[in-house]
Amino acid sequence: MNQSVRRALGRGRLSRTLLALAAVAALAGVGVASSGVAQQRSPAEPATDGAPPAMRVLTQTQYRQSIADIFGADIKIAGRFDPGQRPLEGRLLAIGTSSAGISAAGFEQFEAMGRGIAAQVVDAKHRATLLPCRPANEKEFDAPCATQIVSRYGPLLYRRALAPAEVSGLVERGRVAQGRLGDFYSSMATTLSVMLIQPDFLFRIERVEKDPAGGIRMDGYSKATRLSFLLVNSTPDAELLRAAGAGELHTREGLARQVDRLLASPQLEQGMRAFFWDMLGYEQFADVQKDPTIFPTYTVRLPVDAQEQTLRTIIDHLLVQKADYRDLFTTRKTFLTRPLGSVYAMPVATAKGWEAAEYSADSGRSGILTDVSFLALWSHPGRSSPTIRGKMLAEIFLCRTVPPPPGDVDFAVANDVSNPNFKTARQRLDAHVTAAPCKGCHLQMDPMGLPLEKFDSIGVFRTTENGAPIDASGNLGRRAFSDVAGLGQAMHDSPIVTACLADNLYRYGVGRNYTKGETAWRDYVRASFEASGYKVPQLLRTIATSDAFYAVTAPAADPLPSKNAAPTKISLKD
Amino acid sequence: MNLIRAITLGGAVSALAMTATQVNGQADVATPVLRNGEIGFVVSQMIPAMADASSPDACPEGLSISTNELYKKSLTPEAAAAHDLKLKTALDNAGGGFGGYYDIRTHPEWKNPDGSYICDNPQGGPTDPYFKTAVNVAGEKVEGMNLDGRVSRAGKAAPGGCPAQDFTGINGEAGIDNQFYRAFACVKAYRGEGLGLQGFQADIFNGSWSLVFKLSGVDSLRDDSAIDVGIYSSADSTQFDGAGAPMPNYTYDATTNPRYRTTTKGRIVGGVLTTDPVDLRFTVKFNGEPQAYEHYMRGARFRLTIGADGKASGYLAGYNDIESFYRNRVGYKPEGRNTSLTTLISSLSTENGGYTCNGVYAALQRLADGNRDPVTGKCTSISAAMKVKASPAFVMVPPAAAPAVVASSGASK
Repeated sequence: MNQSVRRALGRGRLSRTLLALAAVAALAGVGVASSGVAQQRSPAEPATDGAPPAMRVLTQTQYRQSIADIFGADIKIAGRFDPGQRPLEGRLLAIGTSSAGISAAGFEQFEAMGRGIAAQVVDAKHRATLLPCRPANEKEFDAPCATQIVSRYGPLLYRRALAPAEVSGLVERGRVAQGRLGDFYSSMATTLSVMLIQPDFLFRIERVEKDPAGGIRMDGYSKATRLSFLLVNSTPDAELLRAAGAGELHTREGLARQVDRLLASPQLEQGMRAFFWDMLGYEQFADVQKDPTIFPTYTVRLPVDAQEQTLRTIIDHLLVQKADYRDLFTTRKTFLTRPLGSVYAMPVATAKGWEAAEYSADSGRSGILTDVSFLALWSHPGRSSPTIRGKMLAEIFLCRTVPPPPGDVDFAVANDVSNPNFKTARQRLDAHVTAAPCKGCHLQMDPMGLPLEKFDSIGVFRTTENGAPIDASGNLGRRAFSDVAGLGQAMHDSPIVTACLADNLYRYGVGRNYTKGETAWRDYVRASFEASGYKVPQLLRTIATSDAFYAVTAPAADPLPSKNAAPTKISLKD
Repeated sequence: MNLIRAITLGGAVSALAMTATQVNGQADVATPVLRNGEIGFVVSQMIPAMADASSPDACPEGLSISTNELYKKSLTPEAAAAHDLKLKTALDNAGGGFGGYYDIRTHPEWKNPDGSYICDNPQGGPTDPYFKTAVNVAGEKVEGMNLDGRVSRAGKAAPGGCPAQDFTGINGEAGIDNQFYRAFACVKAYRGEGLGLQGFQADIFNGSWSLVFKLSGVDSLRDDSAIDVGIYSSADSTQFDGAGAPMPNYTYDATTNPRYRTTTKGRIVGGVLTTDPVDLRFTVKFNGEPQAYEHYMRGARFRLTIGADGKASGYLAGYNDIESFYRNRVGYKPEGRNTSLTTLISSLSTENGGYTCNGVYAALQRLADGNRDPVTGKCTSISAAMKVKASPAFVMVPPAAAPAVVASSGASK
């Protein structure tokens, strides 16, 4: 076992037994699953207790993707979504979805969006392709046709089979609507819009059932939902729902079959985009403003392209090239548009759209930390910020929690960029942190942010600040370096960075932080990630095929118990 | 020295020169300005070199007048007032739009004796007696370049040229050849905020047309005795930032149309780029029209000072082909143009710009000082200069759509 494994596994927090297991995993031979993802013959995963089932509100991207997958990408969705909640601990929006509700204003938006979507589904343009039947007479209610429509979309929207009473209840709603509206398609639009504002659609409601082996387990549909949103960030497709209904997800082979199918699907990209979008905090670009008198080149398009640049780089690196996650911090390969080329001072041959590019060796850039997206997002409107950049680097990539500054801190020196005695950010921070209350936290942040000082508030390369040369040295833990390349290499070599990704991916999938009972499992995932050569598809497979990912404890109080009634026989092939 | 070539992507690009400077308000930004011996530019400003040096004394008899104003001089005050009312009615009936001017093409003031439209046929009638051109004023300084290397006096022609009175330049340089200034200095459109001046710039700013150029085989932006220069129209709109400055280091494609791709040689001395004279054609768009006009400058050459930040400013000077200039910028009759629309534009332009088509044409003929036709003995081009600003850009030069026409370097005056 190499040193990085030992360090990654928690500085002695892991038992000798687990270290041995990890070593076995690292040395084990590998097979190849149908997804193309290496399938390691690892020892049995540590057992976990899991946590109570969750009820997670759909994020904006999940809502949009679900609608696109169910009704088609041309269905327009007009409305605003509640902002997500990013908890201090764990800091993923995905974790916030487990505790977030829907505001009154947000519900109004969902209602309006639902009506808009339903109207499009039944309009003259779409009804022929989206509805499984036509009424014999539009002016009279056609119950069999209404049943077909509800039966087709109910499982896809609710992510489970519907009980006969649910189907008949929704059909009855249609009948009432027909009586008032006098038109079958309008009545079906009403029914669909009702379905689109049900908790069953707006929330991912996890349900439990009796486990034949004893105790309880997550039911098949809930497993399918958790799996689907982890891998493709959308509602389970018909095949996954079928497998769930058939109980296949309770078997190791059946689950693996579905995991491998999704890992091999093109939709995996959208799933990983959603994960990294969350992890990198890109929703906060909506609040980013730059001083136009200082940065007139920060156009409306730039932050949009900047996010896409980093996401493209990540997706290409991890999923297309199937490369080592750590290399994201050192690679010079990237993607550019012409507006981005202007910031990076790089030529871009493609007039409209994207092209692969590579930062030059003397560009001062390497790795995604030197992308505009990171540099511009984590800066002040008028100047860079080593502290903010260091803080976010620690939180995003090292999974550290940095407390907010105390309320009585005097930022005068740190904020005064016109002081001729402190021309550079380093000089200003040196003066600022002489105050004892500040020093402790700044030492956690500034040494990682200062190497990024050669990039201004929007990410343009520079060598001086206020005419003074920039000292880009810093350190990550005990490892010191002289420039941003050194920072990237230190990130690359840090076992904390890889452990953090493994932790984040699991926590993203389950919507919560690790429990105390999952420590062994957490270390097992980290070790498996290392054993795979830090390949993210393999990490996904490790998580998605595990028992731990679906493990549940009994809910304290079941707000929405599983339907006891036998589900209707519903065809998902329509 | 390297020949002009497209920038290739994918390989490592090494910066030969980097400088820390102020770029668009972003202090301390390091801007690489020269890579692999190449640097491209996008023209962000191009304005006829007229206004700054324009002396109020240069037009002692006042400014030129428009066709409508000229016509009214032949009328009694009562008839002139009736004409104004008639014109106003026509405009009102057209909703205040262009239709009114379109209608008045049928009015007598717009017709030659043979019935032709005067802007189509500026020689078809009497000349405009009220068209004014600038006179030389003691101490006046005019922008431009000494194109022929001589200090010419009126009545004495340079070899291959025609008699012309040169001006003194802004920095005291003698022999400034800018008869275009003389021809238009007393025309409202070419003074101050006139469209003849600002239209060029406005239409660059709104993305209507772009001109890029590229230097290759450059060892130093301070001094290099032999460099290759490519000048290209570009279909890509010039990109500006929120403060109205060109976006730094944006990428532009050179046109594939060989007619608008010109190569020449040049040199840099003390940070000043001077290119060899070459017959240059580039496309220009005006007034939001979709179709481009051609600007044809004979013996064109840049003289640009390149700053430490890579930005360049100076002149593009040469001899505007007078038939081409008249057809494209005054009569608005480039080949293939919509007659009704271009007639409308020409009539509108003369009215708004304060000149007549026949007046301009006659002045161009009279003041032409370049490219003398050995058969007729008349000069066919007029010396001119454009004030130019350009910013570093990446210029991609795709293969030409057809075999490139080798532009004649050292075009004769």
